[in-house]
Amino acid sequence: MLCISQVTAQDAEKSESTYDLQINPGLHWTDWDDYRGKAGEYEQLERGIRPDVGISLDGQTKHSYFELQGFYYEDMDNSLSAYIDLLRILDLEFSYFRMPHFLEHDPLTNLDACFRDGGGAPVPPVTEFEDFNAGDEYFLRYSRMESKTTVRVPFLPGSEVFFDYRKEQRHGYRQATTLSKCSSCHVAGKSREINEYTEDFNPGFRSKFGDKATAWFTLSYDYLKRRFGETGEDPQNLYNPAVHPGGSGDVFTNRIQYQDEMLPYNVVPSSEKDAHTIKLHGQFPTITTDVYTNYVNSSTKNMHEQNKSDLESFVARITNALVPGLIVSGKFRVLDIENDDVFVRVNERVGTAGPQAGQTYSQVYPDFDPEFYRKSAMSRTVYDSELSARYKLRKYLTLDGKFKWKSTDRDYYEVEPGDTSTDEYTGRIGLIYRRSNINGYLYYQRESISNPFANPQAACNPSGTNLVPDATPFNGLQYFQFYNMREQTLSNLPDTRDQIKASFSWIISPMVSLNGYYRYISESNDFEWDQKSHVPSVSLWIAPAPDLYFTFYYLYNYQKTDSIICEPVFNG
Amino acid sequence: MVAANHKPTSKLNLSLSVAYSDSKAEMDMITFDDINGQLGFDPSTRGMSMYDYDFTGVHEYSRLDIKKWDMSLGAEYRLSSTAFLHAGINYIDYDEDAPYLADESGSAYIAMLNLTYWFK
Repeated sequence: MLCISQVTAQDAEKSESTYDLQINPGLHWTDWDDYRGKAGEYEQLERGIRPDVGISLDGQTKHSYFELQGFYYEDMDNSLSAYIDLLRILDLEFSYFRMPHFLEHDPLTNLDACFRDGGGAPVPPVTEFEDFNAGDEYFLRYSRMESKTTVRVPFLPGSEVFFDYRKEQRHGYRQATTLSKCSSCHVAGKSREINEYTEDFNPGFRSKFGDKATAWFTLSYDYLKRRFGETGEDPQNLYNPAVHPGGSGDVFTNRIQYQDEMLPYNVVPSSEKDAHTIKLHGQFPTITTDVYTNYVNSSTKNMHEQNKSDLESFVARITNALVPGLIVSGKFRVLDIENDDVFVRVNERVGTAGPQAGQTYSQVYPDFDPEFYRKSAMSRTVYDSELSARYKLRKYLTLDGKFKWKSTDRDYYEVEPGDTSTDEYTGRIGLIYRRSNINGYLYYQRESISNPFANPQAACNPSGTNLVPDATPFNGLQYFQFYNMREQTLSNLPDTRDQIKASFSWIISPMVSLNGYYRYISESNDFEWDQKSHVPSVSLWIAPAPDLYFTFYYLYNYQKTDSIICEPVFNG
Repeated sequence: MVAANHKPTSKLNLSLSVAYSDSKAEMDMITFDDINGQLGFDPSTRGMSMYDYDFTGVHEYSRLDIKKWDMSLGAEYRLSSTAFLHAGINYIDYDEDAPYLADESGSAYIAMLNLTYWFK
């Protein structure tokens, strides 16, 4: 049954207050067939009929302006927002919404790889799996709450202080899988509780000052404190004993960190971030110039391991339109990231059986040192600069050009033997056409990247001379010796990229309009990798009668990647 | 996607929307030419006979073939200058034609009836 309620409005002339109230009560019915996680990935599809209600209120009084909106659809799907402005001094915004997200459940039944005998028949031992929570439905309840409070300081015109707050939460369960011994020989899947939050505290101030006719400035500072945590219980798994698959016993003890015990996995560390941001924007109307600068200093800490990552950046941009028809803009940025080094400590166990009984692995192979300092590949200094210009060639037609240079100098990670730098050069040119009934653009961009991010020891030389079969694999070529033979640099990032973009919008008549878009990207590198993509789209709007209109839209997305594949050829 | 909107009377507004998407992704067959030449020896003669370097079926593991329909029909009727009645139905069909891990095909049906009433 529908339910209707009314609220009487005030007479605006008597009290100087006005209200606009809207109420939306209703009913909805939902159902589904087979699997609902993809057809309704973000819908709470409860079978049957249920009520819903919405409310919207906005109005003003002598001293305030306010808005309120709320909508309740289901217990996992609802929203609320409110806004009030008091005397143009206090400004408060609040919003909250909740929605479901359904996730996949991998049954793991595809993990049935095995060896074959000479006749091609499957031979144990085989890989195996265990889904401990088979049939469980995985979904999360996502919610976000935001609040923005601004106080305009009455005795400092143009200045305001603010406090923003945001909290995101995810509750529910998802699947967590782990491997147990000898790579993928035994895969286990369990339900992992999710109780995750991200919380931001963001106070600051903004101030506008100067002379609007000659030099007008906006200065702002804000501090961000971010906390992230996962308080859901970590799943536990029983990790199998690492015995020889051919029945030779417990000979791998000195090659593993742990075995035959229940241990947590899929552990998610908490983190905290502190960031300071200063911005200064200057406008100089007499010389048609705009200047913007920005400085950020931030530090992020992993609360589980206490590792830190520090970032500092400075950006400056200037735009000038003093010459009629010409807009010139220049930008410069420097960014520095320092990540903590990590000492990788290894639990060196003593062999308990077989030819290496009584010894650790590094005692058998003195060249192998399992413990090391991991220097971060993220630690770097980045410089980039950009120069762009737009010039009006003639009526309706503008020429647009841009040149950009970026240099990434890593502190430790080599992208080529002996070289830690990546340099990128980008040039772009385009035409923009604008009239009242037709507008569009056409751009071409070329990027040239020297030493893109790569793994300089990704694979063995394809000539095959590295491979040494041995009749006694246990004491023959070891994994670390084989990995150290890798010398070929490989990357799936391009060292050249060409891009074409075009778009148009055409109002053919008051009853017909046509829009089109096209983007082509071609990328390649020197490591036998290349990728091409085409994305054309078109939409047509037709109104054959004043009370009838149609919209047609078509988009085609095509991408092809050519890459070499490395397959491990190693009998361990 | 096709969408249409029609106002047959001054009080009634009808809308229709149909969206269809067809997504495909696949790899070429993986073949190793002259595996013995690349290794420098014949695996079957070196105690590696259990290893079959035939990957001709591997490219099927990650094949993607998904078709999705999303159709909705709506009507809005003006009861008075301050009240509207809305009705609508929505049908979503997700069809996975190349399932490997699990078949996630399914359909969803949603119907709604709402009243909007306001005072200005």
